[in-house]
Amino acid sequence: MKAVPQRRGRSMVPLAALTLAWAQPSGLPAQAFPSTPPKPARLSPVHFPPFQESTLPSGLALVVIEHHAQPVLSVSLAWRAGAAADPVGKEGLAGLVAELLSKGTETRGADQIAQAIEGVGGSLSASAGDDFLTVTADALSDQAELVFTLLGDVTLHATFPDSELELARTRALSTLALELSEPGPLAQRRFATELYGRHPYGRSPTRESYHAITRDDVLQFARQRLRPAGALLVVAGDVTEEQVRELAARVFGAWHGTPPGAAPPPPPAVRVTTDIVLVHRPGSAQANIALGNTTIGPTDPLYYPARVAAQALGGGADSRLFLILREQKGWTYGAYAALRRYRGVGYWQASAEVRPEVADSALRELLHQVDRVRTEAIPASELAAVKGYLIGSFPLTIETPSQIAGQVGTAKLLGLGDDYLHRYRERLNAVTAREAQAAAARLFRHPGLTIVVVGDATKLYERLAAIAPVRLVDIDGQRLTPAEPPLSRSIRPSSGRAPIARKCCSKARRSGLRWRASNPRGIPWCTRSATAAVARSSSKPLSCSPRQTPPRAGSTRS
Amino acid sequence: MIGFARPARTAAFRLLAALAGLGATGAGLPPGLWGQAGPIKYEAFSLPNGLRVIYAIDHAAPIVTVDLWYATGARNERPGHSGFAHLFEHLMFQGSAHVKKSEHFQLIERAGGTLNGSTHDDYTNYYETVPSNRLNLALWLEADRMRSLAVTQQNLDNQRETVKEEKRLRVDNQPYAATFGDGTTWPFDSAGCFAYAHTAIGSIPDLDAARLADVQAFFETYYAPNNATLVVVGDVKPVLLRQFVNAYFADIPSHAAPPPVHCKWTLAPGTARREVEDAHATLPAVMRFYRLAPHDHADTPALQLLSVILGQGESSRLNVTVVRRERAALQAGLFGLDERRGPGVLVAYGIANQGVPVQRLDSLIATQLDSVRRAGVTADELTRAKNTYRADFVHTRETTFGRAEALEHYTLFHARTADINTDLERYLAVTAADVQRVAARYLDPANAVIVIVRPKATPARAGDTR
Repeated sequence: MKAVPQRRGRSMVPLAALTLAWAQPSGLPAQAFPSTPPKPARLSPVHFPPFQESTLPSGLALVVIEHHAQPVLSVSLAWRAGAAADPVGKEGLAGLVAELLSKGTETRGADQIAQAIEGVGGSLSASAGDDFLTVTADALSDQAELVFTLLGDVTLHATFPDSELELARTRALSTLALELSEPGPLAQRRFATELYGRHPYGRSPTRESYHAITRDDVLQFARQRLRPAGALLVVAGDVTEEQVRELAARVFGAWHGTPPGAAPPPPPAVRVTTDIVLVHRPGSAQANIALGNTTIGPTDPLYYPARVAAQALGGGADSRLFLILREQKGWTYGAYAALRRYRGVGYWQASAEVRPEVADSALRELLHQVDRVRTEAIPASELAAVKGYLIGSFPLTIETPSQIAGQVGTAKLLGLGDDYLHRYRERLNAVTAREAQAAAARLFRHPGLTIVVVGDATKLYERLAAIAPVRLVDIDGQRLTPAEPPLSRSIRPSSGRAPIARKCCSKARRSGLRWRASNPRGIPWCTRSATAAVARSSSKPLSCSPRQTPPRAGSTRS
Repeated sequence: MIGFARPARTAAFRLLAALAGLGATGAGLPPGLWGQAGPIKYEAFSLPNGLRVIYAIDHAAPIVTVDLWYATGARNERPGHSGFAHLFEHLMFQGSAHVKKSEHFQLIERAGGTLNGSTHDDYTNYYETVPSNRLNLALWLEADRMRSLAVTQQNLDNQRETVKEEKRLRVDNQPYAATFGDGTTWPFDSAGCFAYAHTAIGSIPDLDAARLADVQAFFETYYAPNNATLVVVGDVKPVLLRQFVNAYFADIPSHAAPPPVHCKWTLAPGTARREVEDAHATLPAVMRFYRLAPHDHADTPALQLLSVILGQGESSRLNVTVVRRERAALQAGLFGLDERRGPGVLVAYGIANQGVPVQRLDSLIATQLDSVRRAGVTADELTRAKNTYRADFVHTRETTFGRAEALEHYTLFHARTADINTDLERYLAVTAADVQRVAARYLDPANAVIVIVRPKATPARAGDTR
């Protein structure tokens, strides 16, 4: 039964000295398999790879990272001109500007640009994040000259043709429709809106804002904001600093100009109570839960203890949310928590996707774990594990020139300081359990959390209303009101027990509680205006006696 | 099919491609001698129990990847057991003789490492990238579960629920994903080729039917050293590596060879058409699924270049015509699911822009595919495809993990691991006539399953009525 198909390596026969294991008499293990994990050997120190910084006369900052392991080249040029710079009512402008940069210059059409860079196996693209607009070009390093030529052309000579704007607008509108059909992007969009409101980080493109953008808007944005002073050019790969300086001087030497002041956006308003925004997505197979709040600016020293606390809470598979919500409970494929840094005030977020039947249990557990990390010091062994991961995995994040460029670029753009990358690990290592707890208590605000849930409200509303007040909206953010008045509420997540009225009414609902028949679509939710009277009366305790009217034709039940 | 991973929040079709266990550009990109990219230097040996070991040394950074492939995946599942190979992969993290449930990723993450596993049609991989002083830990963990997987009923039930949530997250709750997953199986029939006529994620009833005895039987049949290849890439001392491998793996007994998988299929049996309603989609879409020869077929290089020319990049034909000139699609492309020892699938797709009739989109895509069958490709297009291929390959081997996966790929899907350093010649030799020939052969309408996806006519949003 255990016939051994013996297969020898082709290129090497194991040396006798190293094959003692199978030189033993058959039937006896060569040596007992160790019953405990082997101990670590001595670790080689890791230093951040060297890089050179300089500034061109125009104020364009240049970073060169020489990395010769593979014949690759990555170049990125970033401006402080992300979506946060979109004018009110023209959300999506920075994104369209980025899209159009490579869609035509004074001497090259869009197809010519694409053919030139892709013809050598490279790529050129641009995108707008919240804070920064970035153009990135990648190619094999023997194409450095072409990469710089094309990057310079799209940066200095883009023409933003009308026809390309219309194509970009068409695709942006379709992309928006696609994103609104995906629960993850939908939750993130709503979360940003709830977290930041009308603050620049809270506004998202809409159909209306895409339609409002004119070619003049595009031209003005590009001419004013895509200037060299304050911009950052990062070049990484199999090139020399001398070669890069020469190329940069040739391509960008005559480029001048200063953008209008781009101070980080001001701190947003701080929420002091916790409620739940439920985005009704009919037929959703899961509840996508996202919760968190705004935190600190990028250079606040609280970042380090908060990073440790967020890692313990939900940074990976060896973190509380994953171990409890997935490995213990089987409620989710993954549950995580992370800090997000902006130029202005950032945020933290915990998230999980769970089946509707356990959405309330999962949200209660998430809140309980948030409270734990706020109120209990992280045990010493867990703190060591967290630091082991955060510090030990750092070399894995700087393996390729693109990764190194990303680390250096982020540090520069966010103004994290010249010593940030060199002292990152030692600063994390210095965090004590007490400091991590204090940071969590201050930055993970409960009450004060924003909670967004995307899912089928017919299955989720009552479950969530038992935890905190629920605001119901459709995928466009339009307010909905449940046909039934909101039921009893409890803001204490740890109470864990649904009030009697809720239980009773759930039962009534299952047995055929009448839905409002005025809703023509069979969705048991109707707009606020249609049910204003009901909503106003909802502060009164709801009578629990079920109205045994059978569902009307066209209505649905959960 | 990843054991655990942060949920992807990327474009719909990247998700679709990931579902099939492949990136959109196709996995297993061949290595090159083009440009400055040199060959991958590696050594290989085998233990008497049949475990094949391959290693490549790179001291550039003090990190190392341990990548263990078992030559089993969804193709080895039987009717009524769809999704089992993937569920089993999850169970490999639920404990073994000396490692408690969840302890595998705890030990690796605390050591500063990353890890995961993924289930594909033809293989299942388990990997760790760790600081190089913890090579011993990664190898010890892999050896412990190869020799002594210990799964309880409670842990089976727990991971069954987790896998169902993974299915809901990646498939049931996403637009297009269910149709894409099913669509890749429609070119094959269950009776002749169950191996590729079902999805790797499986069905909920089949997952519910999995028993602890099935777990043990699957382990006995497929998780043996003689059905696995261990690849180690990075900051490694060969003497130490051999010591660890001998100490941890040498006395694991080999098992009888797994039963062979049979797949009967026919190229171009006639056009099939399907229409599907998608409750989550807001835009109609077209997906065309074409049968492909197994990966080791001589047509593969020309087919991969064809997919770049037609469907990958800004200057690909589908993008230039359907997306840009006709403004009919938000995105359109073409890629192959060909990392199989049996027949693969070539997928052409487009998501319609708002207001574009889906039949028009389908006909525009068909016109582009037909034009290559009829008139071939230009020399410039072929050059672009070859250069793209070369660059993609160089990028995939920038990391220790990327090199490890490439070594595994060549070991499983090619005649010899050594092909990793010669395969490129096959790509260099592809001519425009070859591309046209494979287009005519595989993009034959009689070889297609054409699927139209329409948003399900759901009640409009309540907010629109005011």
